[in-house]
Amino acid sequence: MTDRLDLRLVRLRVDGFGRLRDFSFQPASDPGTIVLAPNEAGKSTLASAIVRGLFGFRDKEREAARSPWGGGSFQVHQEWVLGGRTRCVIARDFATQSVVVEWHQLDETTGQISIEGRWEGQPNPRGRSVDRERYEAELRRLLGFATPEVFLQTAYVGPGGLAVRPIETELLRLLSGSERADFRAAMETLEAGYYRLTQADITDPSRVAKQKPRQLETLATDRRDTLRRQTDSQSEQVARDRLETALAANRSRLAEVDVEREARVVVEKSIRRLRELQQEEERFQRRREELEQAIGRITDWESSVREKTKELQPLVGYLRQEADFATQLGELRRLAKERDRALEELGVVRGGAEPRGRQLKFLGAAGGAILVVGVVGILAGGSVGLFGAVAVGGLLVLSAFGWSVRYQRAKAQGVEASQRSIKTRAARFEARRRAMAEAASLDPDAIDIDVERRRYDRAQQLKSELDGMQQARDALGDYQALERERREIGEKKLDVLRLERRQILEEYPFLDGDEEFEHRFAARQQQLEVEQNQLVEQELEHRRKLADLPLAPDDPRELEARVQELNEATERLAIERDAHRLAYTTLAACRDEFVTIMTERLEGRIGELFGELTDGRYRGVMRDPRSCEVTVEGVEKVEVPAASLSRGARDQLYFAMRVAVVEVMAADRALPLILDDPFLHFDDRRLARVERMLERVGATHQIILLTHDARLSDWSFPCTRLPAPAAPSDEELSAD
Amino acid sequence: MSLKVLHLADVHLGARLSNFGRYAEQRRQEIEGAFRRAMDVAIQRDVHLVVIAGDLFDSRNPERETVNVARGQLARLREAGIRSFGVPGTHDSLAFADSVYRRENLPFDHFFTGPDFADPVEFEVDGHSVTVYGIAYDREQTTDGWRSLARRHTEGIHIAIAHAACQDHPGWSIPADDLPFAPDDLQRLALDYVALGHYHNLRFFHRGERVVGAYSGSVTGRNWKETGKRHVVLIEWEGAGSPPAVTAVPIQVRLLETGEIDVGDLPDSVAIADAIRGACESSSIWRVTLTGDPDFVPSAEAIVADLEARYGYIEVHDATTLVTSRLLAERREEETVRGEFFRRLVDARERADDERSRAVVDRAIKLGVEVFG
Repeated sequence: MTDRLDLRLVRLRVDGFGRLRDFSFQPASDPGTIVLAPNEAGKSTLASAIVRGLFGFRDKEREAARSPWGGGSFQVHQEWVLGGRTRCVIARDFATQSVVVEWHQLDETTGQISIEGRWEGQPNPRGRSVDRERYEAELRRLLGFATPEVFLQTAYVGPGGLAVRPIETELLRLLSGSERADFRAAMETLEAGYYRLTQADITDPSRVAKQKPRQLETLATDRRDTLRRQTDSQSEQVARDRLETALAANRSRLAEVDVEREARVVVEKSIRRLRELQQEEERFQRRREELEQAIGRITDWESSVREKTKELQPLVGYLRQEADFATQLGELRRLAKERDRALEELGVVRGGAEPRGRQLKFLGAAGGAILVVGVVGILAGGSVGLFGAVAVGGLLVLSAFGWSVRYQRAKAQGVEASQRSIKTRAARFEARRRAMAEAASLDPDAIDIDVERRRYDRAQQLKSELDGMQQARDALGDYQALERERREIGEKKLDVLRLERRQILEEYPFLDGDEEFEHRFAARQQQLEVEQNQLVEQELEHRRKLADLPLAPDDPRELEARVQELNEATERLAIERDAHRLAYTTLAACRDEFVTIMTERLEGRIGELFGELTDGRYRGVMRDPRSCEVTVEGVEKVEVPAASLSRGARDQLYFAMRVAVVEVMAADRALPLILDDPFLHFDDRRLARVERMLERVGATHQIILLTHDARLSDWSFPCTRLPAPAAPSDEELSAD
Repeated sequence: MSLKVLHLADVHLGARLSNFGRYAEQRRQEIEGAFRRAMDVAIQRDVHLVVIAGDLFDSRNPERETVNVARGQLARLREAGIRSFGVPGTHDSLAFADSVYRRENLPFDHFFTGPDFADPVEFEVDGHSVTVYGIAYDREQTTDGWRSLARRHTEGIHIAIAHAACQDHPGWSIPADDLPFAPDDLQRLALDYVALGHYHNLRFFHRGERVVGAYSGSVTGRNWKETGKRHVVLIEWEGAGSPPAVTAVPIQVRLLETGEIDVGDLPDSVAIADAIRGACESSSIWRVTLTGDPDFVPSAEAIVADLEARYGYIEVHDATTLVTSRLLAERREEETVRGEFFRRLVDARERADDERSRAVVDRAIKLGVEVFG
């Protein structure tokens, strides 16, 4: 509370408001002022002028009731001081709904007042406008709120409703903030609404009353019934649809059977055609087989030719040989033999000559060695004889050697001549052989005459065979033409035939099979007759069932629309139900949290104030959270129900409560207390205590006490008197 | 002389109209009145023929009095020398054994009962050769439906009558007995006009600039999908091959109309009723939606009770929200249970994450205002 800004009314000028005209009033700031006036003199009008000067009238009729008697200006000017330094002047003209707000600041050092801001507009409280929003912002700056309800709940204390309402009700009303209903009554209303909708307990929806109508349940029953009817109707419709569909299918089939039975000629024609097709197909099949065989033979021939040609490939040279290739080969063989024989002969000749040469060389060497030994022996002083003989022996040997050499040389010349002759002959054979081999494209060194002979013969044989095959190939005909014809038969002619056959069989599937078509057709005709009889019977049965089916009592489209309506209605009620429950639970939470906190604060402060007003006779005030009954605690700790208190004590309690409310529940302003004759039933003793209390409360809250009680003129508060009434009854502010 | 044809459909004589509550009987009479006015138009405009494209009756077995109303009006046409042609609809289907068209001999010049368009009626009138095709859908018999509709010959004026559903969206599942057709189908038919019934709002089908068919719509609104003017269609040909002059002739007795009133600045339900009186003609039946953020809870029931005598039937839907109202702003300033209550509910609304939750909170706020003030 120490943070609250002090708010005091310092001037009120009423140019015309109800019975008041040209009235000016300057209540004292601390502790306040008593306005003393007889009944009907305009006390409540004065209070109303303060309230309506701030907030205007929401109700046009009430505004009219407060219009100046006798006409004229309908204006109220107020001047407020906020927090000691800020001054706010509000001038309202009810006739034009125009309001002027001026803000002034007091310079504490110079004592001068300067205009800080000014706003002017037409904030008609009965409409919506930017001006109204702007003005409410001004009001919030001044009061901390912008609604008359808050002002009336806190700052204004009327004569009290205790004459008609108990203290508990007043407390509940103040806590609830509504004249229409306190929160308990509101919860009961919501509970009742929920019950009407659901017949269930809002605090425990599982607890449902039995055998009682309930809005949601009634709708649900209606919806269930409609859905059942819809299902029945749909089932009947489905059954009808099914029968009608079956009937239609039956009739359709019967028509087909009729058509088929009547189509004998067409079928017989088709049978003929099928047979033709079959013959045609067989003919084509045979021709195709022939063609395939011919093509196969050609393919085989080509394969054989490829093999033989492949075999002939390395032998093809033999085909170029003359017809006497075999004779030539014999001659080659003979020449080779001749050559070999000559060479052999040459070898013999050479073999005989070589050993004699070696003997001669040895004889020469031996003769020389003997001679040298003899000479050396002589020269060495040996026996001349001996050595002379040796030397002579040596000379003899050498002589023999010389003779032999000459003989051998003559003989060698003969051998050489013989060799040359042989070589020449061999070379001649060889040259001839090579020439022949070359002529036959043969390698004379590698040649195997027998092999060559065989290969020659094979080449001739292969050539002969190929020549024979070519003659056979010519007899097989044109491969391309054969293949073309085969393909044409396979891809076109047979396909056409088969397609036509398939089409016929698709149309008359009963003709398909191995048996004769006529048999099949006869069987089919018999089968159709049986089927026809069955279909006729089935149709009769369907028609009988259809006739037995009850007509759908309800139009499914209407039922669907009705279900839709019921769904929407159910949803609306469900939202209504959920809204009731949400409102209820929210209110219950407010009760459990907000009310508990506020009650605790209020109870403490009411107790203090009530104790002060009763001079300590009562010390505390308690409120039962369940029953909401208020009890007061006496000095001897005796709890007394508020309802049992005397009227005066109850008025004291109510007053304490209102003062506590302005202290506890007003937002962030120390609002003035406008007391409109709340002490009617106070005796002098109680009044004295009230005076003391108000003197103390007045330090923080300006007191404006409107009363007709002359006893209060003796109080320490400044007193202003209103003249006695000269006109009929004023309205009570409560009517505002 | 030009050939004049009047096309109407979906009269729904004998409809129960329970959605109009106590006004239902009156509304039924208004439907009959509209049908009467359609016949008046036909007579006054000297039309040569009237075509009724199905659902003349609301059910297949209407009450005797309803049948007599139709009989009487069709007889007026006959007396005036106007030929009348009709087809059954979905509500008054011919498929049932107890169908009104099987039981009653209504004075149509020709009522089509064939399951396809194969049996047109040809006649001469005022020098015009006219061929009229019609179809009565039969689940059992109808096989070709629209496929059976082909212009017989090139001479004269060819008109088809069908109670059929336009398949505006390929995803729609339209039953066969509604004779579905694509919007372009009518363009392809080489006919001069296709008179359609089934859809209850006026709609024309064109081939280029030329009208080739139309839904005339219902003659009287039966529910809030049929708001605004109701029509019959007058088609006029100067001669065969010439494009028709097509006129939608308003035919309603009392319109169904919808309106919205912002009641944010109004002080109470009485003022709302006054505002509705000022904004809504008494010649129509109204569904009024209240919007805005008033400082009180509008009482739809009280408003309806106030206005029922003027309008016969009126629906008032409260779509207001108090969340943004000044009243709630003021209440939330209070350091009282009421202030706390509204503060909490406004918080709850801000937290609500779907429309239904918001609707519940809105209604809870209104309940709070109703009980607390």
